Amino acid sequence: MKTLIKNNASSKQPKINATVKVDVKLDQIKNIKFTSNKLEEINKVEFKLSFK
Amino acid sequence: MNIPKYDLLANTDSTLFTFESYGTTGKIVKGIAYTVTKNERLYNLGFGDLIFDPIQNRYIIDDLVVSDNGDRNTVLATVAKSVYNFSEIYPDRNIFIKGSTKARTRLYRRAISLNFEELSETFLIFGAMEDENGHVFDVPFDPNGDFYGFIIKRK
Repeated sequence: MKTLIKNNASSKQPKINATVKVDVKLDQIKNIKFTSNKLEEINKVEFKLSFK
Repeated sequence: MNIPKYDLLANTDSTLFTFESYGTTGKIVKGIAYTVTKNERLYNLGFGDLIFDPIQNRYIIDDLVVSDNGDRNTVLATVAKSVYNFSEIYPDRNIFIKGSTKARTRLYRRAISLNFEELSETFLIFGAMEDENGHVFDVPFDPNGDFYGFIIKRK
């Protein structure tokens, strides 16, 4: 797991037309957590949206 | 969006993205995660430094750290690119955006305001307000509004 994230970037420089590529190794990361409790706070409120 | 962005790596179902930020403090691996909320069509967008926690033996996204790598606009543009990617694959899933701090929520409001016209070509953008009963409802986006968060809906 520790070696999951490697330097796979094809270029270090940002680009206008940056790419999105699938890396199946990321599938091993499940139910990622956050340092903040923002998600827990969001799940305490009730969303009443005017659209679906 | 003609702002330079970093290349993104995505998991197979496009709910987790990573990229590498390069700047004044060196290379920082960033993670972006789309996580379903209690409302099954509403996904929370969170991002930060992707780090491995040896105590929990898992990766976590540190969304409180101040990385200060000098590439804030590039990072935000890269996160925006993931929004386009996620919502293209899942057009029926709405995206909720809120900073881990109020200052960050204001930053995101400014970023949305600056790119509102372009974003509006693809998305409906709402502000989110919370009332005293813990209900969050959508309102028209206002560049000067004091919002609980934002909701993005693909057109």
